[in-house]
Amino acid sequence: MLAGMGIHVVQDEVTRIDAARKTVFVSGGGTYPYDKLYLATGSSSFVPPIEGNDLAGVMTLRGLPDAEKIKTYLAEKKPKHIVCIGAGFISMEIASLLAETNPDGFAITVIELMDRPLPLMLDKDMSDPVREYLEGKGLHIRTGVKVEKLTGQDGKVTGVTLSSGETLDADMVFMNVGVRPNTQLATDIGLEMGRFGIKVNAYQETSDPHILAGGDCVEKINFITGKPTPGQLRGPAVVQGRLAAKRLAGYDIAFPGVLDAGGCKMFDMTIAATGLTEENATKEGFTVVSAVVDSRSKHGMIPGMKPWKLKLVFDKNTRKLLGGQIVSQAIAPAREIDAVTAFILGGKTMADLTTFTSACNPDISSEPSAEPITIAAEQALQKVRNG
Amino acid sequence: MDHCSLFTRGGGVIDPEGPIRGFEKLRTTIKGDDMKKGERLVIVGCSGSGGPAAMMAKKLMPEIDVTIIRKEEFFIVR
Repeated sequence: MLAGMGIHVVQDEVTRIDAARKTVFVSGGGTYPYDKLYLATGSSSFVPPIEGNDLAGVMTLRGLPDAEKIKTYLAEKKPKHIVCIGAGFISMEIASLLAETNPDGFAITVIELMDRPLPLMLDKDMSDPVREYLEGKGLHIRTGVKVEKLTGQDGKVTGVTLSSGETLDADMVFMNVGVRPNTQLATDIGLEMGRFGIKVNAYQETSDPHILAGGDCVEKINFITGKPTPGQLRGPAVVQGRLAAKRLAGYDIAFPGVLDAGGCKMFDMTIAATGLTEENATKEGFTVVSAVVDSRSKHGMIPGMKPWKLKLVFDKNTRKLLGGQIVSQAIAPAREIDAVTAFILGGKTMADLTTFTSACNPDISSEPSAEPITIAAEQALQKVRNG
Repeated sequence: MDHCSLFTRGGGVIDPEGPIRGFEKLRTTIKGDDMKKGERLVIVGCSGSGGPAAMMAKKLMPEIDVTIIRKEEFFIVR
């Protein structure tokens, strides 16, 4: 596809950049002079430095080679006891996909240091029904526990020892506890670095006038707090790539910052979230008002109706929308999170949202009287009025 | 300045008190320094960000030379 557009694609590893001579060097010996350089070096799975992390059967998932490695290991070793460390969306998707693929074949345990699954996306009141649903599907979810080490025999993982001293049987372990930006090339040429990656301005420009950067390797700014954040999600990566190209073509469009909007699907449940959770908003110093509303994927009288749940988080002082969370047993309602994102970017208040009218139809959405964005805003407004 | 005005073209002003105030530290370096015919854009990495950057660059500036250098055989990441 890229080659068809007249783009030269070189499959090789970049070993060095000479920023003074504006030249890129690759391991195969080639050199590539540039007028402008865009760094999109991405990120890599973070493997916690705990004993046993190099045993056979300990996996991470980032790209296709990882998926192929996992598939081969499952086919050849036929593991029974699987432990997923971390209850973020990658971990939870792996656990649910494995359970779905072979419902009676695996005993799957998910271990999370915090008090709930998907702790960065959902508050506890939204995460609890997710946990209940997943446990009903046979996943064992252990929260508030820390992994001390991985144990093994003959170089192969056999167990996961918790800080309590308890050891869980494990013949396959997934470690998905976040990623780290790939910044070595940028560091080598002395680009200014932030806490979470290469520092860029709102136009993806680095501290070198001829180098731009974007995606997982750069530090983002949170749209709401204005603070640096990793923001390592596909959405910002794609938009930042396009934005850098626009900048080079003379456009003057600033990146507004990230809201960490994301989604995942586990069995028939879809989760989506954007902006700040109530917990994070409180940590950031906001006085928060929130509302949770149960809704329907279709009109209540239409066959096939599935329940879904929305939570909105507002700043009590400015009454502006700060975040939203959706837990849905149908896929379609989860896309309403994009409306929530748009409202946050537009600086909308709870009063603004009470007049939101959705495009509804009995077969594709709840009836207007059950539109949860409007209802949540009304409830929040009432809470503020009642003090 | 409201949030919407950050998306308009031509202004180039970042409100220091606005939602992207964390960006103001770095100098805006290349405004007015658009790429010209025959110039070379090299992109390192081709997954979530490098690919879209290359395609958009070629679409907006068909006369420039775009090269992507990537280590991986694959494009997909989660």
